[in-house]
Amino acid sequence: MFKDEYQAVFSQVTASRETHRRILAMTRQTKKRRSSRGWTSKLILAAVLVSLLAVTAGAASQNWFVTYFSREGEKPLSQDQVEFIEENTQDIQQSQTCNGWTIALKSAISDGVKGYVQLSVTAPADVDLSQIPQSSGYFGSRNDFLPKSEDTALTCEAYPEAGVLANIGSRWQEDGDGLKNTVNYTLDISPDMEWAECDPFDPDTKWHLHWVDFVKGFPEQETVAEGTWDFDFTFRSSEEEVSLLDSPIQTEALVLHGSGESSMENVTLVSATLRPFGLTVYYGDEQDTADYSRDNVAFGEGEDGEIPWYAVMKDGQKIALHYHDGNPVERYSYMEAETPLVLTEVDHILLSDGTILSIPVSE
Amino acid sequence: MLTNEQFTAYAQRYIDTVYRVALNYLKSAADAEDITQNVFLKLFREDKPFASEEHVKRWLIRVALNECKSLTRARWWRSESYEDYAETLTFDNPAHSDLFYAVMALPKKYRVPIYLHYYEEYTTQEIAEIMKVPKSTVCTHLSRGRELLKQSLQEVDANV
Repeated sequence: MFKDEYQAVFSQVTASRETHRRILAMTRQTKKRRSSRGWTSKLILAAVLVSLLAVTAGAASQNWFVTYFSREGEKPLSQDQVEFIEENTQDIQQSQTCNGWTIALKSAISDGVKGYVQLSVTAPADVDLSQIPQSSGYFGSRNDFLPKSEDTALTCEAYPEAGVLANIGSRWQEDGDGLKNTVNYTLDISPDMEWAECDPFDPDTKWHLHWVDFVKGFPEQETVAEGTWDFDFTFRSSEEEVSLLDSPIQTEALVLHGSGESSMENVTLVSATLRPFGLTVYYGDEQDTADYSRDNVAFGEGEDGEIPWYAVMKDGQKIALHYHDGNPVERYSYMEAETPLVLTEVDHILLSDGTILSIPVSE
Repeated sequence: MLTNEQFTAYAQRYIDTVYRVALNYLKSAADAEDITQNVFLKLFREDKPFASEEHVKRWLIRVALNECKSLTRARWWRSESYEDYAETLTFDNPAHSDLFYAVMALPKKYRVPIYLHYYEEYTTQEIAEIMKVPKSTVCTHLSRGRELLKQSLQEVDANV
């Protein structure tokens, strides 16, 4: 009886026609499809447009990264973290105006594995962007103020076939500057796969942002402004990294098998490299590939939920490292730090099973 | 790698399944739409073979849950109200509307297993495999979730 009623209720819950249309249209986008061979085409640049931030007139650009990483003050940063962000924020300061709308690519920050780009948008003075409905999300189907997702692209020259920003989203936040026609975006770039074989944040690697139109509304989109804005830029990554292992160690991790089953198993950590925005872990060996085939080894996850790893700072503060993504073929997992890590202040990494990875003493 | 024809067939069959899983997890229609698109983008780009259609379905649900989990961890994510979305649904009778609101008012840990059990008709063992939690946990969550639903609906009846 309950089942019948439940099914009657949830049969009403369906994805929108627009979502159906977009998904079914994927088959026409064959050029974006991954090849089964060739690592250059395997990279999916999952770039996430986030954080529609208020612009404070005259505010230093790096302050927006401080705001962003602190989740607008919800997770206050230490003075060391603020200084790290300010020291590593890269001024770009490019701007383009089209049909009265100006997009400025203001600054970037990267640790060589993850990158963030800050943009600001200035609409004509009579446009009130504060009236745009609030929403959150990270793809391109929001009842929000966005670039046109089908055409807007973020590409990295190392991966011309795959570096497409197909899905874009944003989060609206209060604008405290009194100017209703200005907003900021922060672009969060996480190359999902095979980044170990490339260096997308190398200073010699060019990126291109092609921004088309501004739209709002969902599922039917209304064009707010037409135009195209193009930016070429490169990252200047922080080169800070610490290798944590001299020799392989064993730890317990959740192994996600292709069969759909998962289990806690002993996994050999081959290397662990800590950078300001996260930890890259390589595990296993060629022999393990078959066992770990298809799905991932999710460090920091248990069978009953997350058991994060932590970066334990010298002052005792613990910063969680959450499992973010991995690649079973390359046998790595990436764990994202909840807030940026000042590597000189990290005392050790605490694994889920209590194992401690000490930070090597620098000579 | 799936052919375009296979992808289309699976999409037509499972878009709404993925959407419902995401909606149950996130309680946000707009986020569920986004998750659904991203899950199928991943399926489209997946180049490993699937053993069966059921394998594809479970893969989709599992990826959807992982995407939801990742989304809720994102620095910028905030939960949204689902009431506006609920108002767009047309239920045959008020009891169905009450049930929808009661389900969505449950804690997240109960919503997804209840959906997988009562809608997709997975067994507790299958749900445990999909959600990567012990079977005993699934049983507890189903039992506790139903109990909370019963209480909630009784309170609604009492207030009518």
